[in-house]
Parts: sequence; C-alpha cells; structure tokens
Amino acid sequence: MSDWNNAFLSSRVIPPHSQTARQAPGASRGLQLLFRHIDGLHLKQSESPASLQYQLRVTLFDSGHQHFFGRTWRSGSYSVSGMQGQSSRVLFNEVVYFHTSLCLSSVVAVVELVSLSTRADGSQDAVGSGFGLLQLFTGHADTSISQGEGRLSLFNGTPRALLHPKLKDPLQLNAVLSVMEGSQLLYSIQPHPALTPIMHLLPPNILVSGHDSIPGVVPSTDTGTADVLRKPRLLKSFSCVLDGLRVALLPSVEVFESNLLQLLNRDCQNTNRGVEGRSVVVQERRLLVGVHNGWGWVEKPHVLVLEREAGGSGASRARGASASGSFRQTSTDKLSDGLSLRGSVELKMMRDVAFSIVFQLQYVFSCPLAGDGQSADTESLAAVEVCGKKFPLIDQPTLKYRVLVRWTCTHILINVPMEKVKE
Amino acid sequence: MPPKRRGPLQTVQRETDDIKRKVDALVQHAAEPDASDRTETLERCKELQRAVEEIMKTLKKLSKADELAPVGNYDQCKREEEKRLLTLYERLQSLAVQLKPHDEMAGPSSSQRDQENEEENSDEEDVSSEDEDAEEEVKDNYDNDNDDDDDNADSGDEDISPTASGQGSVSYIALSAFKGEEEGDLSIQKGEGLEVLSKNKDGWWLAQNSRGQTGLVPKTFLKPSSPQDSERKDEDVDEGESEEEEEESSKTSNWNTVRKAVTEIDATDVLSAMGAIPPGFRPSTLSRLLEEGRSYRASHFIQPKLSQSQLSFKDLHMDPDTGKVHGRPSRVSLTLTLWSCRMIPPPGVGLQVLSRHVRLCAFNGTQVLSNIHTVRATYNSKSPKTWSFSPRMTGMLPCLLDGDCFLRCDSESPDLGILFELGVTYIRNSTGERGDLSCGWAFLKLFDESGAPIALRTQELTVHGGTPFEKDSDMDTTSTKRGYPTGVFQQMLLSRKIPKLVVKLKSVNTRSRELLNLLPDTIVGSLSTVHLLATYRQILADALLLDRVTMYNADLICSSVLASFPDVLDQPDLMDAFRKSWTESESNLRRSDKRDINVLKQMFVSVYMGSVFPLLYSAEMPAPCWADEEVESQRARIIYSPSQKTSVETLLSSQSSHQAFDITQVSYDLISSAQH
Repeated sequence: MSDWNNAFLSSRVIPPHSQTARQAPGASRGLQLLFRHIDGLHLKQSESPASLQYQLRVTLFDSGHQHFFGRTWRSGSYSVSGMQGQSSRVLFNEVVYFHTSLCLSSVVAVVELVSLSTRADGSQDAVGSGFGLLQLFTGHADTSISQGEGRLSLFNGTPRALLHPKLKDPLQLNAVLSVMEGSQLLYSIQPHPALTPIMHLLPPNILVSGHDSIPGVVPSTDTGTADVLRKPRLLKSFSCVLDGLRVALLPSVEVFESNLLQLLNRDCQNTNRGVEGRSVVVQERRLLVGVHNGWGWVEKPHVLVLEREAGGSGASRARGASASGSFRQTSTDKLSDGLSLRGSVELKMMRDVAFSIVFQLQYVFSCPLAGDGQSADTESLAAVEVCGKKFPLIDQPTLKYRVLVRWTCTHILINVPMEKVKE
Repeated sequence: MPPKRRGPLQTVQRETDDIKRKVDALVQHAAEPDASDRTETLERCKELQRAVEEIMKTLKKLSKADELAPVGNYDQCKREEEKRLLTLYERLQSLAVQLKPHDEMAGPSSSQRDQENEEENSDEEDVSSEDEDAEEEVKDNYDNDNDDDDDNADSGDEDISPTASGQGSVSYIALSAFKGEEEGDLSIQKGEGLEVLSKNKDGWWLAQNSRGQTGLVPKTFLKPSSPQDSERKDEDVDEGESEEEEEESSKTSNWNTVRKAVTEIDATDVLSAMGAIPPGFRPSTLSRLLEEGRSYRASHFIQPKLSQSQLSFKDLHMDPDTGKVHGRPSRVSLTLTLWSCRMIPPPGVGLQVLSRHVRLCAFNGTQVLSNIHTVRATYNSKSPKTWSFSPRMTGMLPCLLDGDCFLRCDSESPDLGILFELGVTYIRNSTGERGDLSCGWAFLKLFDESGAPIALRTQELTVHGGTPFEKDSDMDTTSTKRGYPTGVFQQMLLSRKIPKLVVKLKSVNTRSRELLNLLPDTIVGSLSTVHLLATYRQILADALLLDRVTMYNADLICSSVLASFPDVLDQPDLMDAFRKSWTESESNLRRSDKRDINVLKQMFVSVYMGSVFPLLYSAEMPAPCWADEEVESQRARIIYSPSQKTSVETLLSSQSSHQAFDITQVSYDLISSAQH
C-alpha cells in the first residue's frame, strides 16, 4: 500500500456530532495543551514502582451528546519519579496540538492516566488508573479558550462510563464521580495561532504531538525531540495543471453503467423503494479532483461534470460545479468511448510523498417516485474512488494509468478496472 | 646378484601369506574388548576382503604355462592356494558381520541398550513433534486407527478362532516404521518382512525379524504377506504410502496412548473403541473453522450485509412509517431442540475430556453457510455413551447448555441442511496438550428431492464418522461397515451400536417468527437470545439507516453498543450475564412497555452498559478460553460477584480495575464490519 493509502486509512476518525457541528459554525482555532506532571499518585502495595510505566491518553468528548470524537492521543510512557512519602509523581511534559471550531463548553478533553505493565507473555497490559475531564472552553464568545495553568482532579473508574445513558445529565454525572484523593494533573492550556497556516493540512479535532508527521509541514531536521508544530512551516507549494482528463471505464462506459444501474434497481426492489417497471437512470457524472495529503483534502476538491464522448457532439459545455475550478473551452475531437472533462484543473501541490491527487467518480441518479411519476427524486451517489498518485507528476507529460476502481460508499469494494488518461 | 625371479603362483602364495598375517592381526584386534574404532576395523576388514578377491581373480587366470620354471605339482598347489584364500575370505566375512551389528543388527545385550536410548529419544520426540502440530498428530492417530480398523475385520476372526492364534509363524510385512519404546518391543522398518510367532489378544504380537531378533509390535503395524492376500495388500500399501509422510513426522509420539488404550480395553469388546481415538474420529472441522477468525462466528453474521452494489444493505431495512426494522422471512427460519446423542464412542484412556459438545451450522454438502453455534452436552459418567442437553437447573439455563436453537439461512442451494458435528475437547494426560476432535457428524437435509421443506418433527439422525467433506470415501467407520460383515450376531451388535443424534424440529409461533424475521437472513444461535438480537438489530438500523447523514456516508460511528456487542455475542457467559440483567429489568416494565420497541431499545443500552460493557473491558477478566474450566470459573466469579452491580457504579468505582480507554473501543466502522 502506498504512503497515502496508509495515512488515509489511519486517519479515519469519528466526526463530531452533527448537531454540535451546527452550533459552532465559526472558524477553527488552534490550541496547545501542555501536560506537566501528575502529583500524589497512590501506588498499590503490590505494584513495584520500578516496573510501572505511566501514559496519558487524551480523547475529545462532547458531553452534550455523549459522543467521543477525533482520535485518542497517547503520550510516551514514563516511570514514576520522586517519591514523597506515600505518594509519588510522574513527569510528562508533553505538548498536544489541535484545532477545532467547536469552542463550546460542552466539548471537553477526557484525560486518562494509564498504567502500563508487561505481562508474562511479553504483551503490554494497559490498565486505566483514573481519568479527568479537562474543560477546554469557557463558553464565552470572546475569550472562549480557557487559558493558563490548572490542576485537574482525577476520578476513579473508566471514561467509558461517560457513555452510560444514565449519565446524560451532568448533574447525575457529578453525583456518581468519585475523586481520587490527592492525585492531580498539572496542565496548561493556551491558544496556538501558529497552527492557523497549516490548518488545511491537519483536519480539525485531531490531537497531535509536535513530532507527529503532517505531510506538507516542513519536517524537523533533528531526530525525535524537535517540536515542529510550535512554529510550523509549510513546504513550498507549486501549481500544476491537469489537462484533457478522460475517464475510460472498462469494458466500456455503457456496460459499466448498465451493470451499475442493474445493481441499483435490484437494491430498489429489495428495499421496496422502486416502483414496478420504472428504474433508476443516470442523471449526471461528476469527477471530484483534489489534492489529498492522507489526513484530508488540502483544499476543497473541484467537482467537475464529465461528458460522454459520443459522436463528436462538442456542443455541450463543460460546467464547473466548483468555484475554484478554472476552465477553458477546448475542442476535443478524438472520439472514443469514455467520459471526458472539458478544460483543465489547476491544483496546488507540495513535494511530499504522501501528497496525492485523488479522483473520485460520482454518479447522480434519479429514481422516479411512486404515484404520478412526474417528479423525480434525485439522489447522488459517490460511486468509485480514489486513486492516489505519486508526486513527480510534473515530470511526466503524459500519464496513463490503470487503477483499480472500487466503488463506494466505502473504500474497499468491488474492483472495476478503469483507465485514466492525461494527454 | 639380481633378485630371484618368482613364478606367478609363488607371488600369489606370498601375497596370500601376507594377507593371512594381516587378517590374523585384525581378528585379534577386533576381539579386544576396547576395540573402540569399529568402523575403522570394519573398513580394514573390507579392504582385506577386496584384496583377497583380487588375488583370487589373479589366481584363477593363472595356468601352468605362465610359470617361468616348471612346477611339479602345479595344479595341486593352485587348488591349495584357492582353498586358503577362500577360508581367509570367509573369516573376513564373519568378522565383518561381527563388526557390523552395533549399527544394524545386535546381540541381545546391545539391543537393550539401544532401546533405552531410543526410549529417551522418543520422549524428546514426543514433546517436539506434538508441539509441532497437534492436529496432524491427531489425524495421524486416526490414520493408524484406521489401519487398526482394517485389521479388525480379519483380526477379529483370528482372535476368535483359536487356530489362528499361536499357529506358528506367519509372515507379515510392516506397514510403517515402529520404534520400540519399552523393553521387549521390536523396532521395525517400513516394508520389513516379519515372522509373527504368537498373537496376543492385547494387540501386541510377538514377531521375529530377518535377523532373528524377536519382540513385540503392535499388530496394527503389520499386514499379512501371504499370496492370497496380495490384492488387499496392494491396496493397503497404497494407503500406507499416502500416509507415509504424516507417519514419518510423528512416528512414535502417539503410541503410548494407543498402547494404553489397546491394552486396557477388554479385548472382547472389539467392536467398540479400539485405540485412543476410536475409528471415525477426526480433528474437528468446525472447531478449526471457528478458530480461523471471525468469518464463522456469530459476531460476523449479526452484522448487516451489503447488497451486491455495495451501496445499500441487503438484509437491514426499515419500515419508513413505523421506523421499525423490516421483518424479512428467510428461506429457512426454524427452531430446533437438541435432544440427545446415543452410542457415542468415548475417546480412549489417555485423553481427559474437557467438553462434549455439538456444533451446528447451515451446510450444503460442500460449504459452511452460516456461523457455527456450539451447544455443550451434559454427560453422566454412568452412561458414558449418551449425551444430553438442556439440563434442569435452578435459575437461568446458560445459553451454552441450552439445546434450543434457531437457524436462519437464505441459501438457495437444493442441498441446504443442518450439519451437526459432535465433538470433544480433550487434554492429553501425558503431555497436557489440548485438542478438538469430531466424534462424528450428522446432516439433516431440510428440503426433499422435490424442493419441499421436510416435516418439522423429531428426527433421529445417524452419526457418521470422518469429516463431512469425505463423501467419496466410506465414511461410515463408526458403525464399522468397513470390511465384510462376518456374521448375524455381529451385524445385530452393529445395528444397536450405531451412534444417533436426536433432534426435534419445531414450528415457530407467531411471536417468535416475528422476532426471528428481524434477524439477519443467515444466522444460527441460541433461542434464548433471540429477543436481545432483535433489539440489537433495531438499534443498528437506527444508527445506520436513520442517523447517517446520507446513505453514502461511511464515517465512523461513536457507539459503544454497536462497536462491542458482536464481541459479546461470541462469549456465551457474557451473554448469560446480559440475559440475567435483562430479565431483571424487564420484570420491572409495565406490560404495555414490554412490546414498545423504543422502551426496549433504551433498556437494551442501559442494561448493556451497566452489566456487560464493564465486564468486556475489565482488567481482571481473563480472556475467554474454550473449555478451560479454570478460566470459565474465574470469569463466572467476576461476572456474578456481588460487587458487580448492573449500574453505572461498576464503571466508576475504585474497586474494579478497567482496561485503558481508547476511542476505537467505541468506534463502529461500517465498512469493516459489514459483510461484503
């Protein structure tokens, strides 16, 4: 699998709750969280502090909808340093960056202290040792991000309890949470505007460390320790133009579409949505073109309407659905069966192996409604997928490649050979 | 003075003298007790033999004319010389034979020493080869037993008729190699000819090899080599060859077990089990499929199935008016009760049985079409060959023991039916190695020749040996139909001893049918969990069909129930905990609420999060381990401990320890979960 593919699969995360997303339409803001240390840890008699390692795990949680989202960030593992009487301390000093537009008081970071131990068979045992709810936002409009240092009390139990239907009410939650006496996490939180220039490279609500690699951000020259996100710098970008895009479906567009329609009609019958004798028809074919860095679209992808190349009827005009799509009328007269794009697409690329141009072929279908059959119910559907392309695209004037197209709602489906030609 | 020229004969004489001296020295050397370098001696001996041969040839070529000077009694001299050479050659020959035996043939004293060595070796081999592949060994075991069975037909006669036993020597051929393990055993090579001196009833025969050594060998390793049997022998040899590889790999490892079994079972009970693993037993096919991964587990089949277009669901639809899951009839949707198994041969003495169980699934003769559901049998040591199900007990019957099952399958195959595999999980006393055996299988075809479904009634199914895939070979080994039936009495015995499985197919009442129709098109499970599965499907449909923004959205979904319930489904003890809490909560519901799907959904989530979810990620719970009594009881202690409350407190108490949280535990991935 390519770098892009790996990055893409590992960057699939739970999106924020749709209602929460609607409540906070504002621009995304960068944050920096620093976890210093945990004090007053009570070790059990049975545990020898030398072999014990501790880790912090942080996950974003929407307490209004009992909804975890994003991904779980994990710190490195640290051993206990410094015993003070009965209690001990673990130093972390780790920084977490992310950006989000959900500056709502209901959005909190769930911080769990995890004790790691190695089992007899060599596998690692990660046991929760309490968790805290870190308030990220004040809820006030102007100073929405909580700032400064703070001490976070830890509660007994596991954060999974937050999903219990009985704890939907915050009051109820407070009633059942029991504080671990003496254990406190020292942290600091502050806005991190330096993240703004790279926000298009890093999707929102993803917690990253300074040493995580983000394609498109200048990687650290030192190994390991350097924190590139403290002052992130962008790689140089350049423009490239895709011209004369043509999609050839194998064995032919007709066969491909008739197979697709056949399957869709079967679906309709299966779900009793379709009407006897009437069937789904193709309304539009679109091609989504964009630059993707594995984490997400680097800029909003272009959505372009594809045209059937049939009999030299060059009259129909290419319509660009995307605002940023630039088109020039060109006269294509080389005619073979395929779907072609009139015009060219300009894309901004960066020199990074994970940068790929991703094409997605979309079909819009209409399905006649039951009843009088005059209105058409339009549904759009993203059939077909993504093909990551390696970077040194500019060096090859002509690209002709075969991709295994998988159609979707998913990413890993049927294989249909497809050919894309850049001339 | 020039050297005196000798005649050729004289030369030969001198050479012979020379060799004679050497041979004398060699014999003397070999006779010394501390003759350490036998091989060297042997080498020298052979060298001398060659030299003698050489001289002999020269001598034979000589004629009187070759002599420089006339020799008086030339002919006589030559004959004498020949004689001398011949005796020398014989001496050397015998010396060579004397020197060899430590490798190949041995006197009694040395052979004993060798056997001791071998015993040590074989112990080591035991361990290593078993570690290598338990399954193979079991198979191997079976193969050997199969031979055993082959023999039963004829050896049965031999054992019964006194003329056959101790009849003097009969020649046999070793079917495969056998390494003696105890004093008095005879090690044999594959294909070696043997004289059997006496046939003991315990299955160990006294045999003599070509070198005159005698010892005991298992009769199953031998085949008569008399000409009238040649036809059969050929067959057997073919068989033997095909098995050769496997036998080679664990030549000796399972013979301890076989020996024990063979010697301890009453020899008159020839028709019942012979050997550690009775004929017809096989390594369990269905257990192996279950271990392969998720593809034959309920956790896979409970997932929604994508349609062929991969753009919608095949078997999960919602009624747009009511918001309820659309009930779907399946080609087969029935309930059945496992009643009992009769005349199931117990495995041999070397094995301790950990679990007797029936695994069932939809099957079309070649392919397993559904998940594999397991029901553990109850067993009474007083009637060891009978298995029963659904024991009476106070409180809730665990679904693992519950013989009431349901089966749904939408396969269009005309041969669609239910495959039952009777199995045991055993542990070998000697090595502690665990394994799964199939004690036979039964297939219930659900449609007759015309395609009509069979009548729902009690079915008495014959249990076949072998694996369900062995259609071409005679798989009926359990009922010993192999070979030739030898008498009325034996046949009578046979018919009574045929293993049977009794299964009761039942028609389904309307309420159950409604619930069953909410389930996926193909799934097998315990009837006691149907209402839970139906509610789960409703929750799944809500998340996938109502709450998704568009039908083409494949984002991960944050849901603890969707993400983890399938795992719970594969752990019957957790399902029991769930059912128990569910029953308690249900009893508090008003009658009208008991049918209200919205109330039930809420209750499902609440009960699940309170009772099962904490257990699933409890740090104290050992991972499930099939048929491990210690693990099972340890898990039961935690599941039913008084501190385990069906509420949120378990998740938030300082007493219990939990596995660390990661968001993947509550992420439901539509793409990877759905059946493609």
